[in-house]
Amino acid sequence: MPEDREDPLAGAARLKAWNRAGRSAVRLSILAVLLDSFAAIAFAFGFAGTIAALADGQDAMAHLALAGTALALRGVFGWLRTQASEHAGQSLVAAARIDIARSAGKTGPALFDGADHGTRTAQLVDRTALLAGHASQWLPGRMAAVVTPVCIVAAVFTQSWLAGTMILASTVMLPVFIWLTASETAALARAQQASLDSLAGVFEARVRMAGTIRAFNGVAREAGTIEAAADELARRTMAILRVAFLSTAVLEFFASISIALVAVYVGFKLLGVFPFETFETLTLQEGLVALILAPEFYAPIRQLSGLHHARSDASASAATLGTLTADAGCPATTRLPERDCAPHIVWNKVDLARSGTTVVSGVTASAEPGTITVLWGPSGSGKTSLLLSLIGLAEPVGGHIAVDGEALGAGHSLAASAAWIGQKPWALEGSVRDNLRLAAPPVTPDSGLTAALEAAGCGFLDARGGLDYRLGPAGQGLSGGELQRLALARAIAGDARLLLLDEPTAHLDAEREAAFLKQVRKLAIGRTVLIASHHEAVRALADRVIDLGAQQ
Amino acid sequence: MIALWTRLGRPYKGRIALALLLAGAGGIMAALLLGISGWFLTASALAGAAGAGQAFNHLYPSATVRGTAMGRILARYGEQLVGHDATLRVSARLRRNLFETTARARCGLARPDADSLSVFLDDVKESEAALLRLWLPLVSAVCAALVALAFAALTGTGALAAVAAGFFLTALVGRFGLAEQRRIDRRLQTLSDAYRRQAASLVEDRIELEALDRFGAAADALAALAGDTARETLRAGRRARIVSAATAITGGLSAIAAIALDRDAGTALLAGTALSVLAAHQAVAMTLGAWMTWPRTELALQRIGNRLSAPPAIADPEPAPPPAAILPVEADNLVFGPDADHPLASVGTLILERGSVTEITGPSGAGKTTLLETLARLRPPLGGELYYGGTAAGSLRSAAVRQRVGFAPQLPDTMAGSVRDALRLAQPDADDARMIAACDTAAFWPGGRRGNDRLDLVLEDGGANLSGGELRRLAIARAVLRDPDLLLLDEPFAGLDGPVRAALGRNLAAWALRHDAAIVVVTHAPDAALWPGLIQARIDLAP
Repeated sequence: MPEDREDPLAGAARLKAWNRAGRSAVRLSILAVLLDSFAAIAFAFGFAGTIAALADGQDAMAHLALAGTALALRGVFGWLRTQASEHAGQSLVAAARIDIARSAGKTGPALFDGADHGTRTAQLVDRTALLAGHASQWLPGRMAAVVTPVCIVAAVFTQSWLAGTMILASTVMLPVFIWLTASETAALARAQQASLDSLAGVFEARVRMAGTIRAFNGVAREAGTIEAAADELARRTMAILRVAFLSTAVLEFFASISIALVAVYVGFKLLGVFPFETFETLTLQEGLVALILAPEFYAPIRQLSGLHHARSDASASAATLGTLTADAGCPATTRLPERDCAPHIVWNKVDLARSGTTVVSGVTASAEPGTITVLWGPSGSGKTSLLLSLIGLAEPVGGHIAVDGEALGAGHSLAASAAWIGQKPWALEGSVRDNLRLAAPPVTPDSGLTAALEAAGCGFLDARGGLDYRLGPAGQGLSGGELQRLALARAIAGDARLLLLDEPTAHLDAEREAAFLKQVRKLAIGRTVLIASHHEAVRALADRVIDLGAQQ
Repeated sequence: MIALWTRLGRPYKGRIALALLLAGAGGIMAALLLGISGWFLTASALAGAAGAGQAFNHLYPSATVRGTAMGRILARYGEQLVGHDATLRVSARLRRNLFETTARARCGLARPDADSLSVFLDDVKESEAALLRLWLPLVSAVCAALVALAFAALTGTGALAAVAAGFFLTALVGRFGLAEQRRIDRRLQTLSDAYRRQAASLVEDRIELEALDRFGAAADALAALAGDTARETLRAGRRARIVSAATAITGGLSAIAAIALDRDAGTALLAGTALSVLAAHQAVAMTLGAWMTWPRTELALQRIGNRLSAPPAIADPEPAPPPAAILPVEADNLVFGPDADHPLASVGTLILERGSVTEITGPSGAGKTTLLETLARLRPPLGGELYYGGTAAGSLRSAAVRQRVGFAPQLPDTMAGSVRDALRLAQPDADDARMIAACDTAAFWPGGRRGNDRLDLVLEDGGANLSGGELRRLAIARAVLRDPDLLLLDEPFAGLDGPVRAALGRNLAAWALRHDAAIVVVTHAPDAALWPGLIQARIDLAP
């Protein structure tokens, strides 16, 4: 899965699979639509009967009761429809999210390779949320767009063939409606995309670096840039919307015209002033039924535009999310048993692949116990991949990797003997003790954990409760530099003999960087330390520098 | 809400009023269309039955039916178009003003954290949508309700009472629905935040989680949160759905009650009343559905309003003449820190004169960067005296001082674009020759490049394709490009190897002598030998 290819057919199949759990809810929702149509017809008859009875001076209570009951039922069926369709939508979203999470658990972290963090997170959160429309709007709505008009027009035909024919005749325009709504959907989507791309980007980038802009007295100038981008966006969006709303208006026009035609025909007929022979006599009741039902005929068709929107969002999302559920074919990693001493690692003319794409070719390097080896090179030169090859997440497709003289097979992982520290280390929500125990052997006493904290330079924790200090979600409560120290302490507590550090100081200021590196230097005794970095201070610390930029 | 929109919308008052007017007209037309149709049909039938068909004036009513049908379409079209137009214009102003007030209110150079930035961006979107999503439908629904009430009033007191009671009940239902919504929303928000955080962690921390053998557990936790979030989403919308159904039922019952109570009134009017009441309640139900999100919108509007009225970080005097020179900078017992409640440190005496360099040292957290930001007039001093060129800082406009200051931070911000674009931020009208000269002064040689092609180098997000030291030197080039009198450098030498370090110091010293400028440099490794020819001073900040 090097890139996210979109496959609409697979997307449709996947939507169907995810929708399995919510299928009965979709059916219930469609049933509610059908029942609502019947209630609408019952109301039309009840109401028309009431008025006709009143006009004739008869008792109207029975008709009135029918109308009232039908209305109450419409409320209930409407509720049932939304309740069931929401249920179906949420079931679909949950099914997709759970499916992806499970397949991540099965495939391992390689599943998320191939796109940056923000994109992947947005897929897991926002893209999956868009799937709801398929089950909550599109499936019941498209049924409603067929079932309801058919029921209604049949009911109208029992009252007046000409009114029924008028309504039916307007469906000749239906393909035009659908074309209009589809083009409107596309136009709106384009407008939204444009807004996302231009204004949001311009605005966000400037808010983010507002401090720097102010330092250069550029606030007024950049505010002008924002306004210009917004004005440009407004101009472009309005041009698109003018057309989009016009197509809606045309659609409404046909609906209204045929309602008005029915009304005028019925009225003239009742007055007896309709100039043509229609081979039917029309009573007040029949006329009113036709008039009340006419708008009901068009209501579901008018919603088609929104439905198309929901549908195209959902199917586009399903197609994109496919890469996160397919069996990626990444072999599961095998965790090798923990080692007692620091490993000696040699990469000999190694080619490495991630998600099927070769990212490193012909690299030769080695790392020795008790030393710090820095992998140097610009971003994209494969520094991280070299580290990943030691924990089974980058596949050696050429050359060989040896650990203490033994070959490291594909998918073999030294994770049990290693600690990984990145730019912003992960921490469990909970106490410092919980965090250290993640890595430490179960029998480690508290004193052992405290010693690890001390060895990693976590003195800042002493005043905050030491092992009992509680971290919030995502490491809240500790700064970036403090989290780095905690990760070091975790590595010590777990007695990791191999330290893999991926750009560990990218977000640290010079002083914290220096302090952190001093700590790493101390830890190098009895361990093998590999650091991927393009920071000069890290390079200065190295016992050996491997310049990947120069090797490739 | 209203305050925010009136403040920002003033230049577009006409457009907003027109959109509201059209929304009202649309509501009136929708209720009239059904009401008049019902009335017309019944009246026609009565007249036809009485044999007075030819005498009945059918032209006006039938024309009204056609007219309201057309009018409704035009009103809706206009409402959408004008509403969107007004929204987009107000949004342009809102974003401009928000950026200005945010930038002026911010102390120092630090970036906002990702969470608060995303909350802020959501708030902006939510506030912008308020007119289209909430106010236009509300006006439309209220106008439709007025038409229904007018029909009822023409029919009789019983009908009027029934219809009015119906709308009153609907309002009560809406209030009931909204009452608990804030609490329900908050619970859902907590869960969906947790899901988002877990998803982000699973993606970002996946290597570390795998190394700790926790990746599978984290994926399972995400699956569990997905189920919980779906259930809570369903629960959160339950009230809104009940309110919608209750509104429809109330509308129907009030129409029925109107007929039952005023049975003896004109049949034609009864039909018109009932149908217009139904049309109005349909509009009300849709509006109420949208308003169930009001608690969230209200909160967003409040926060945006607070942002817009946030005072600037530094209170500037009324227009004052720019200073003839900002050097020497003199400070006496200057107290500085993040805010008034947290003074960090103070310096006794500080004099920055032409052709001098002042090294600032001190342990982590002693306030070295904060001192630079205070000198750059990016945050107010918390006490003591500060003079620029003999004038007290408080009687100079802070922008006038910043105009002559160049600041190169440790973790510089850049926008997407080329090196040339990044430099332009400091000096929009600088030509290539000046930019290259600034790059040379700052020893900015990315990847060993020394030619003019440096300016065309495209920076990745956050300057990720430059090393930390290169990025810092780009920031120095940016600061030097302004030809400042006072150059503030935060750890410029960190991690640099000997030759580059020496070249940078030499270049900057020569530059300072040429421009008669003063340099202040924060460093954890002071080195007098780096600054040939400059008057030297050192300030050590105690923790």
